[in-house]
Amino acid sequence: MSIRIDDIKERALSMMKEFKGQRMGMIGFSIIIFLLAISLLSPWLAPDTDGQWANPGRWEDNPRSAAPNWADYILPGTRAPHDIREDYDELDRTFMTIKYVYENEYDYPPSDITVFVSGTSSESRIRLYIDLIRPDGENILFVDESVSITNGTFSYRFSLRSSAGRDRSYDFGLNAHRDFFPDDLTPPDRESVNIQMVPFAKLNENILLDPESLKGTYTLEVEAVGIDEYDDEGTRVLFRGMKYGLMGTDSNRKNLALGWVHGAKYALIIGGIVSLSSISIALLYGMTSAYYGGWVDEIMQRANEILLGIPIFPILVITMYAIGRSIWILVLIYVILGWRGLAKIIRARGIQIRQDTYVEAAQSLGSSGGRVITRHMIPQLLPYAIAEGALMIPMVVIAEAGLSVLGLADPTVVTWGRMLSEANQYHATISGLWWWILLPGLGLTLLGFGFITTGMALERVVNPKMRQR
Amino acid sequence: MPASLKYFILRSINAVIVLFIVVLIIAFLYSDMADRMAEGRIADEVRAYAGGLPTELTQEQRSQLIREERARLEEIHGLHDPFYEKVFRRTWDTFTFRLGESNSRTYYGASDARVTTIIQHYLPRTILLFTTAAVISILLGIGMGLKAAQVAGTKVDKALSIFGILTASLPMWWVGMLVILIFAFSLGWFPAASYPFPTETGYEYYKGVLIRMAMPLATIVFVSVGGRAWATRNMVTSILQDDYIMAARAKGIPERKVIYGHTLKTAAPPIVTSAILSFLLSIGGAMITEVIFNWPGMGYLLRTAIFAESDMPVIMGIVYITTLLWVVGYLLADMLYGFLDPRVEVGAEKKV
Amino acid sequence: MPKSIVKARNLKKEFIIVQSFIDKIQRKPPLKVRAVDGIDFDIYDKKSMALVGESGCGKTTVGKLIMKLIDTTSGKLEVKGHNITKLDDPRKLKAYRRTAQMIYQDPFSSLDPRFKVFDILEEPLLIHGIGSSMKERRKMIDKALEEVRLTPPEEFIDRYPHMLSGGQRQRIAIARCLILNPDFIVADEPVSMLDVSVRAEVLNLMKDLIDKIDLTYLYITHDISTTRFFTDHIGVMYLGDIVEQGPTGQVLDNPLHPYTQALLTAVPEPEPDRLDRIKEIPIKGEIPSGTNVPGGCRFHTRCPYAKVICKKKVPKNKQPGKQGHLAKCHFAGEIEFKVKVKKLADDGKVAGEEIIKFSKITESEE
Repeated sequence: MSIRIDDIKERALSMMKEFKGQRMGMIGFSIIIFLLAISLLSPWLAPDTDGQWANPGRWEDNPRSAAPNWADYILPGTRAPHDIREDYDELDRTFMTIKYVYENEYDYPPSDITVFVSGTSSESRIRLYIDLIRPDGENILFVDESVSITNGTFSYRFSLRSSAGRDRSYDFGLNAHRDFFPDDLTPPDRESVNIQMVPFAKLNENILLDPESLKGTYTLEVEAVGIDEYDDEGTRVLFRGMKYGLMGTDSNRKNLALGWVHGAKYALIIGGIVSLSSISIALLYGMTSAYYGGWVDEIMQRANEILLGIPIFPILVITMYAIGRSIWILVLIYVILGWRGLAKIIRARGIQIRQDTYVEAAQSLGSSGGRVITRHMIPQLLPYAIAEGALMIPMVVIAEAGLSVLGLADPTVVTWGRMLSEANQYHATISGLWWWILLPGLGLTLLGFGFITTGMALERVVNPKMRQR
Repeated sequence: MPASLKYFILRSINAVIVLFIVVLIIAFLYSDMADRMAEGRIADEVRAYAGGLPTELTQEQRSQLIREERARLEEIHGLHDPFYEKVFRRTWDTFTFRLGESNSRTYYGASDARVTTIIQHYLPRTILLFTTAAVISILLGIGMGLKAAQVAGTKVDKALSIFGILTASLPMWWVGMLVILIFAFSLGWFPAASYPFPTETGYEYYKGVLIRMAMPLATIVFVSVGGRAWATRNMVTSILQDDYIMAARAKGIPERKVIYGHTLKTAAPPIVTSAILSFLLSIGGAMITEVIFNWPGMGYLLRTAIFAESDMPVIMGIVYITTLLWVVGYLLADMLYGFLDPRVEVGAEKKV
Repeated sequence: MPKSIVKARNLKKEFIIVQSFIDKIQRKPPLKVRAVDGIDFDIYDKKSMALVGESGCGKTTVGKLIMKLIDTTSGKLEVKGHNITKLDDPRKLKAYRRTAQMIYQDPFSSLDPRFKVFDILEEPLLIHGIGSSMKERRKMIDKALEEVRLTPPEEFIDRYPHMLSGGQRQRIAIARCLILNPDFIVADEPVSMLDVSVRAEVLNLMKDLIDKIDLTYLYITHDISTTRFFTDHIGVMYLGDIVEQGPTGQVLDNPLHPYTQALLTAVPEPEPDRLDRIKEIPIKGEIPSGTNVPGGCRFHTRCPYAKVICKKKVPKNKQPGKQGHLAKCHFAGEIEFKVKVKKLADDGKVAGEEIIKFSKITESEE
C-alpha cells in the first residue's frame, strides 16, 4: 500500500486540530485522559489496595465512616481531621506517665480515640490507667486495669468504641444527664445515644441525645505503674477523624479514594476490552455480511437476529452465579454477545456505502479491493463503530456495578460497583454516608459522560457533513 | 401466505430458538449442581430408610438392602444418565415450568417451597411497579417530547435534550440510592425500605403500598423519562421536515393539528416500539433498583436467593422467567410495530 | 480511416438476479437479465461517441464493461488493440486504469464525503505511485484544477465536496480523471444531475478538452439533444442492443429507426415561437423488462409501424443511406414517419390537430 508516513502524519494532525475545536468533546476527552492517567498510576497512587480490600488489617489505622476532607467546605460545621500520634507530648518519669495533648476546635470531634500501649517491665503484672482530662476540668477514667507481663513485655489496646470505652462514655454522659434531669426514670439507652461524641460533649442537658462539641484542650494520660520503659514503636494514639482523605472512608474504614483509583482502572479494562472486541467483531461480521451479500448475508443476518433476541442480563446472572463471580466472566459474556447490535448497523451502512458511486469511482481509478475497504469503507464505518463502542464502555461498567449490588461482585478486585454494593449492604443510604454513594457513582457518571461526548465529537470530526450543523 | 403471517411465524420461531438457547445454557450450568442436590436428598432418604428397617436383620442383610435402596433412588433421580440426557431433561423441565423446589426453609414468605409458587408470590409486585412506571414514563415522555418538538431550538428544548442525555447514561439504581439519601434520610418524607409490605387491608393497604412505591416509581420515571422525551422529540422533528408536513402547514393547518394529527400518525410506531424495547432493556436495572429500595419483587428475591440463601433453583427460576418475559415482550414489540405501521412489511425482504 | 480505440464485437453481459434463501431452497431457476445483448461498435481516436437510450437500456453497462468494472459474459472487447475481456492480472488491470477513466452521473455520491479536494485528486496519484513528493503532487493537482477551470486552485484545495456546487463537484470528478492522463473517458450522464444552468458549462469544458489534451469520450446519455454538441458518432440503444448507429448529424437529421425518431420527437422545442404546439410522442408504454426481451424485433411491442414480420424475425443491420449509418429495422429507410401535433390556442386549449409526415430519407440540411 502506498500510503506514506507524512500523509498519515498530516492527516492525524489536521484531525487533531479539528477535534480541539469541539468543546464538549475536549471536556469528555480530558476526563478519559484523567481516568486513564490515574489507572496507569494506580500501583503508586493506591498501593496494597487491590487484593487487600476485604482485609480489615489493611485499614486498621483509618477512621470509620469519615467524610471526605472537603466536606467542611460544602457542609456546615468543622470536622476533626485524622490525627495519628506516633510520639507522646510529655513523659513524666516519676510516675511513668505519658501525655497526649489534643486541641479540639471542631464542631464534630474525633470519632474515636484508639490507644496502643506497649512496654517492658520486670514485674509479672502492672497497673494501667488511661484517662481523658477535658477542658472543663472533668476527668474520664477509661482504663483502670491490671495487665499481665509475658517475657518481660506487654502490649495493650484501648478504643472508645470498645465495650469498656462505650461503658465509660455512657456512664459519663448519664451522670451529666442525671444532673439536669434528676427525675428521669427512663434515660435514653446506650443504643440510641451518639456515644462516641459524649467524651467530647458539653455538659448540658443535651449531652445524651444531641451532644454538642466542647472545644478546648484535652489531655489524654496513660499511666503504667510498674513499667520499666515504654516501647516507642508500639505506643501510639489515634485521634480518628470525622474526615479523611479525598473521598472519606466507608464503615469498614476502607479508604474510598484508594478503591476509587482501582475502580477507574477496572472500569477502563473491562470497558476497553469489551468495546474494542465488539468494534472489531462487529466490523468484521458486518463488513463480511455486506461485502459478500447473497446467501452468506442472509445466513449471517438470521444468526444475528437470534443473537439479538438473547437477553444479556439473565445470562450474566446465571453464568456468574454458576461458574464464578469474576469480572472476566462478565467480560467474556459481553465479548460473545456485545457486538451483535453494532454489526447490524455496520452491515446496513456497509451496504449503503457499497452502493455509493465513489466506491466504484475508486475502483475505476485503480484502487485494489483492500484499498477501497481501508480508505473508503472503514473510515466511513469507523466513526459509527467507535461512537457505539464508546457508549458500550459505560454500559458494561454499569452492568458490572449492578451485578455487584445483586451479590455477584468479584471478590478479587475493587470496582466502583463493588464499592456501591458494599454501600448498599452496609446501609450507607439510611446512615447518611453520602460520599460512599456519591463518589463511586460519580465515577460511573464521569466515565459515561466522557465516552459519550468524546464519541459524539469524534463522529463529527471524521464525518465532515455533520460538522456543518 | 400473507406477508404479515409469514413474518409472525418467522419471529415466533426466532423467539423459541432464543428461549431454547437460554434454557439450554441454564440446564447446562445447572446439571452439576442438580446432581449434588439430588445426592444430598438421596442420602437423607436412605438414612430414613435404614432407620425404619426391622432390627432382627443381620448386618449383611441390612447393608444389602440399603445398597439396593440407594441404587433404586439414584435410578429414579437419573444420576447415572449420560450428561446430555440430564441436560435435555432439565431443559424440558424448565420449558414446562417444572422448576423444582427452593433450598430455603423460609420459602421467602411464600406458601410452599416450589419455585413456581415463590415466583408467583413476588412477580406481581415487580409487574405492578414496572408497568406503572412504564406507563407513566411513556405517557409523560411522549408528551414532553411533543412539547419540545413544538418549541424546537429554544432553551427549554435544549435543556430537555441535555437532561435526556444525562439521565439516560446514569445507572437507575444509583439514582435510587441518591433518592433514598435525600428523601428518606435527609428529608424523612418516605420510608427508606419498602419491606415489609403493609399487612392491613382495604384503604390502609393501598395507602401503604403507594407510600412504599413512591420513591422507586419516581426513580424509574425520572431516569427513563428524559431519554424517552428526547427520542420522541427527535423523531417528531425529523418528520416535521418531511414534504407532506410542509404541505399541511402551507395549507394553513394549525401547528397543533400538524403535530398531533399528521406527525404523530407517522411517528407513533417507532416511538411506541422503541419505548417498549428500551423498557425491556432496563429490566436488569429495574431489578437492581428493587434491591436498593427493598421492594419485594423479583430483583429483591434474586438478591436474597444469591446473597442469603445461595438458592440455585430459585435463581434458575428467576432467570428463566425473566428471559421468558423478555422474549415475549420483544416479540410483542415487534408485532406491534408491524401492526401500527401498515407500510412496513418487516422481514419480508425486498427482492432486487 | 482513423485508428480504432474501442472495438466491440457481439458484446454480451448477463446479470443473474440474486435469489433469496427461500427461493434457493425451493429451487426456483435463477432469472437472467440480458443487459447488453450482443452489440457491435467502434470508437475511433479523437472521434467521441454518444450512446443514447432510455434508462435501463444497458448503456451504462456498456460503459462499465469498457471500464472493466464488471466482467463481460461473452463477445470481444478491445481497447487500443488489447483484449480487455481477459484482463485478470491485477497489475495489468491497474495499468489499464491509466488509459481509460470514467465520469459518473451523480457528483454528490461519486466523491468520498470525507476527502478534501486535495485528497480526492491525490488519491489516483497515490494509487499509481505518481509524483515522488507532496510538492510534486501538489503541482499536478493545481494543474488539473486549472484545466477544469477551478481557479485559483488554493481556493478549492481544502474544501470538502459538500462545500462545492454540483457543477464544481463534477469538474473535480473530471479533474480526477484527467490527472492520470487517460486517452479515453467514459462519461456516464455527466450533466443529468446538474442544474440546467451549469450543464452547458460542463459540456463546454468536456468539449474543449478533446482538442486540448487529445481525449476521446464515450458519452452516455438519455438526452439525445446534447449529443450533437461534441460527438462524432452516435449509437441508439434499446433493451440491450444498438438499434441504430452512425455519424451524429446523419442519425439526428435522418433517423432510420422508429425508436430514434421517437427519441427525437421527445426533445422539447428549442424555438420559443413554436411553444404553441404539443408533439405527441408516437411510442407508448414502458420499456419491457430485461428479463423478458420480446422475440423478433425487440422494439415491436411499442412500435407504431410494426408488421407481422417484426414479431417473427430478428432484424439485421441495414444501411439504406449513407456509409456507416446503420439501423436494425426491417423497414429502415422505407417508413414514412408521422407525428401528431396538437395546436394550442392562446388560452391553452387544444385548437386543432395536425399530422406532420416526413418522407423517407432526405438530405440533411447542412
